[in-house]
Amino acid sequence: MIEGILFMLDILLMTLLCLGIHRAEKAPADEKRMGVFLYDDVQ
Amino acid sequence: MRDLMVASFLVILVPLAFYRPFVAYLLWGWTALLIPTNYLYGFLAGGRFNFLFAILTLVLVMFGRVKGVPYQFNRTTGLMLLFTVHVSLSVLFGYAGNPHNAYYYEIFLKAMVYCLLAPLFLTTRLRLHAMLLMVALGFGFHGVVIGLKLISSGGGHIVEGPSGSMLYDRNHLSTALALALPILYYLSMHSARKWVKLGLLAAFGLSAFTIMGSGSRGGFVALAVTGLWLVKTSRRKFITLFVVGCLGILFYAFAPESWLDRLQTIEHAEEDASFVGRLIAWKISSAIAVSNPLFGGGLHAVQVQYVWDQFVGSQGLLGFISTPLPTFSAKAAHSIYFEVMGDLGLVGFVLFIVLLLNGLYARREIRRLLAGTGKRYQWATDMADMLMLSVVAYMVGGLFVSLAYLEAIYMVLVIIEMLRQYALKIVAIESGRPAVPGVPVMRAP
Repeated sequence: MIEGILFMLDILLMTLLCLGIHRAEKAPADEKRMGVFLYDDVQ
Repeated sequence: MRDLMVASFLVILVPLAFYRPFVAYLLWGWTALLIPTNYLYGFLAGGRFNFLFAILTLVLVMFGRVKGVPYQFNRTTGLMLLFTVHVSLSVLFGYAGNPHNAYYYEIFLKAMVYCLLAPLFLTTRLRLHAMLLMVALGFGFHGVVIGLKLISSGGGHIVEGPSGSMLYDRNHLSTALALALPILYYLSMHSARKWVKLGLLAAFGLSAFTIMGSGSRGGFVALAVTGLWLVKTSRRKFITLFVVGCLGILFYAFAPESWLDRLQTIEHAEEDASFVGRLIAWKISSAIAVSNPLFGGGLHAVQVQYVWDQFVGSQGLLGFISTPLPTFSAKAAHSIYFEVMGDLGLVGFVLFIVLLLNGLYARREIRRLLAGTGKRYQWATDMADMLMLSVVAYMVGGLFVSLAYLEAIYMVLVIIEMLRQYALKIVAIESGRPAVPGVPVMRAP
């Protein structure tokens, strides 16, 4: 049960990370579009 | 249910990986660390996701879909290439009939190809940060799941990593998780969203709890070193001390007596049969190295019965410690150092140590390079500190486990190198001269 929920959460988070990278690197590149995984002190 | 979810995400991620090769590269690394097939029981149970994303990345690289900076060798990738050639020769010239050669060589080679491609991908802060997140989502997952199982079972759950993988053994898993802890800590320090920070801190705590609950003494020593180093070097000493202190108090307050009893055996290691067994395995591994100094005996040769029998009773490099004649059959080297020594000979051992020390030295260089840049690149020095701590945790935990071919350590070493390249670029931009002769100064990455 715990394992199943966390496994699906992990896949969801990885997907969000990949989508975030795609959005942030799209022209015009904008790191702020990284989404949930944005890092601090973005200029 | 899980299979359906994975299938639906593959529908999104595979086309995205085609469009953006860095996504394919990340998914290759993530599937290597998470081993998703281990958690699937339906129609995707035999799916070769790691192979899929590895092939996809390589195809995209070959067809020139990776745009940006031209490929440039650096110190670490050069050393890795040399090490790969050496391992290949060891496999070729090692003892015949070694069934472990194929298994470990495949894992090692995949890790090396992955790391050798890093200069094409890890070129910006965004990508370095994403790479660490990938490691956290891949490795951290095991720590979180097992940590929660330990809590829900009141410490009764038996700690094991993904079956059929190198991490199945609790000692291996503990060392691997100790390596992931500094990465989780760095990400919690430098994530912008509060709930992401808290989630990563929770993953840090649960992974530390898993190491303690595994009863692995090597893992515990690696954890203790990581905790002390974090407190010593952290810029936020009070918060770090609070987190590490809370974990320690919680452990001693709630740990079952059997866990504490096992850890107390560290004090009397020389009387422990398991420790004496390791000493014997170290002696035999070093004897193989002395007998085959150039290329060693091949991967995990010490575990091959006829090789073991050939060297049983040899003192190797540890003749100054007396041990009884073993009554057990061939066993693993139980130390990354003696593992490499026996497998790859003294030359391979030197290469391995140089590779690890190069990672530690790179942190020093990064700090020196960015010393005059103020708070703007504080994240980079923090990242260098934490990655170095990951290497230290591996080097300490690795004293007692055979994990020399763990993909994650090579990933960490190549990330430090790419961070060093980034720091070199920053310095070049600030001073207005090219970091690499012939390559023009570009905009801030």
